[in-house]
Amino acid sequence: MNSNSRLKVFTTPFNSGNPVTVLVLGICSALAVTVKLQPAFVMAISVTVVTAFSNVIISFLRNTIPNSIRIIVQLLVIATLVILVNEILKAYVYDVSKQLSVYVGLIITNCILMGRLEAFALGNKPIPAFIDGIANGMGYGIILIIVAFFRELFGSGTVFGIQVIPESWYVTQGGFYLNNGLIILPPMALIILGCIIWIHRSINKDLQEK
Amino acid sequence: MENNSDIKNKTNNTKRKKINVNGSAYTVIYSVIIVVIVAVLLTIASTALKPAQKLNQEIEKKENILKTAGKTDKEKAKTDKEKYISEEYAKYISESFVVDINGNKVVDTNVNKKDAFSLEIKRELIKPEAEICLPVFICKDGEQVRYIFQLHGKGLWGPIWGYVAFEKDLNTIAGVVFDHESETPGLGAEITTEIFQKQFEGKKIDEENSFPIIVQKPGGKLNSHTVDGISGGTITSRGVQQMLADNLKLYKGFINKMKSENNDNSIETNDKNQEQ
Amino acid sequence: MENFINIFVQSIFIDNMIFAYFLGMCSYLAVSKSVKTANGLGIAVTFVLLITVPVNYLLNKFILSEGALAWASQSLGGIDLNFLSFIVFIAVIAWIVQVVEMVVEKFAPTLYNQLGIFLPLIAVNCAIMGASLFMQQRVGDVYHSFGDILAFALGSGVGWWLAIVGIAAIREKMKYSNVPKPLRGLGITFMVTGLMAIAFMSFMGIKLIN
Repeated sequence: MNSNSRLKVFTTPFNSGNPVTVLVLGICSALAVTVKLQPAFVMAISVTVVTAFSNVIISFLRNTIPNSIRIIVQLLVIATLVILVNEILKAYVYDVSKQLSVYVGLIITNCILMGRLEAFALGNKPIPAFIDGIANGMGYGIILIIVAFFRELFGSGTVFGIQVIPESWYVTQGGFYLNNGLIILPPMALIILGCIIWIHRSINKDLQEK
Repeated sequence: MENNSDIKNKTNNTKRKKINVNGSAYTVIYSVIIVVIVAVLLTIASTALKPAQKLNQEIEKKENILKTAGKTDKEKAKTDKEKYISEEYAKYISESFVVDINGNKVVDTNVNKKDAFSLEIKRELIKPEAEICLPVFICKDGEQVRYIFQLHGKGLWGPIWGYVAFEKDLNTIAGVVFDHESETPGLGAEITTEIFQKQFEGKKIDEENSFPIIVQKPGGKLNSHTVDGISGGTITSRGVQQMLADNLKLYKGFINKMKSENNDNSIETNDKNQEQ
Repeated sequence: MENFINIFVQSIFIDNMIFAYFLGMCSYLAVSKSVKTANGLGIAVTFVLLITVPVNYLLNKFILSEGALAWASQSLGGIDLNFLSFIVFIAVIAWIVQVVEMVVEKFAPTLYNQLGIFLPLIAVNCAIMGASLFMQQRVGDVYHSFGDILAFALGSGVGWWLAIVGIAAIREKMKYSNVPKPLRGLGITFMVTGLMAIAFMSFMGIKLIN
């Protein structure tokens, strides 16, 4: 595989092969952690790491795995990596791990992981598989961060926990502004994601469905 | 891509000649090896990281206890939180013990080893009343004495918990800390904010009412037993009210006992004053 | 009895797997083009949930949680196998899905023909794993008995079933609507799901008994 096709492997997940907005993978765990940017960011990193390394491991093992237990072996590799990530989060960023709670465990069933293992890692060498994992994790992460940015900005008036909307604007301080409570609730994550897809597909017309 | 898959096929073919990748003996051996590797790896990681995780939990608990008693400084806690919290905890929390429902101290026995700090209140609350053990922490700062009790209850989605600190009279609330697992961010989850928790300071327990503190709909008139709830977080607010009622009922034995002891002491000192 | 009904109703309408937690979104979006297939998947998910959650509950109670091994021997009482729970849960799920597939194929061939292609998909359905993780998180706080767990599992499954049949019915009708091109398919499905979730939020606070 030459460098050109490697570049392609890297860039596809950001546009025409985005795991969330095009391939419809990994939405499950994505939306629940997007109320604030910090957990979304940690989730994005965790998924990227797990995707990249599970891709590499499965790619190394790809010629040795018996076909009948293929899925179980894949799940085992993913689950092991996720447990490691979970233990590390609990030990070093305790506050964030509390916020993510069960959603770290749900990385295991994140369809991106299984999807990439089946579609890419089983048929490719470790290095491209690694690139593919990183790129898909990041493609997923970007969507997560965009959604989280809007929800945190309009829902809490902050970005990464730092107050952006001036305190004096708020009604409680005699101003005119109120945080939008609705945007924090689960349904708005879906609607924001719908809007992102709308914009994405208006720009990239090839992706439009009939 | 095509070249690549060709190569893959070739390597597959050469391998197949050596061992049958899909044979059942191979499959069994393969799965055993994988499982052993995974188990060893995970056990090592879990054992290696356990101390750090335990420490995090301990520091969090200590911080919450100190916060309830009003003894933490946010700015100071930012740099080297671990050391700051442990030092402050050692400095202020002079005593901690376990009491039963009648307010008597539970003495450690070897069979049933318990200390207030590691006691899990969640597990105590589901026991029959006579067996419940409740942790009490006492914070001393010069003349000031504060009693800290642990709370655990139910919110909308899952458990909520916290601590409440009382002044020496065991009637005035000195401070509270609440936390939750999965309340709605921006609504129920607001019980963790300072604005909500600050309201409880200086409130008094209503002994007549079944709810010692009422968390009412925001906007109404407040008296010394009521605080404003969270708009949009009604069920979580009610959960806080219920949690305080349920838990303080259990602590009642201890509270009454301490109150009468305090009264005796003050009478004694009064007598002494008169004699002089 | 009232308690079971309470948990059951709560898991269907308030803690709905799709509308409140976004779990199982991948198959929800992929298999909701017609009511008939959606119905099949809904039944399959409910069925698998009803088996996996109680099994994982027993495993959690007697093997995984801290001090759980005390029933076997006093000396094992101090062992905490919690870090293995992700891997045990996913293994149980994958295994049960396999068993269910074989049993259904043998004894109910017509049902198998209806569900056939969906059954293997369920192993990586986040709703199944999510239910087990929620069970582990809430046990002792919200759920106290085996019956509670059964009610929760059944309720979660029925809730998921209801959601996917609902969206499939809407999507069947939506084929004839004039949706903006970039929104067609995925985009509008997200938005409609968002609106459905807002509608479901009106159930919040329902409690049969105190």
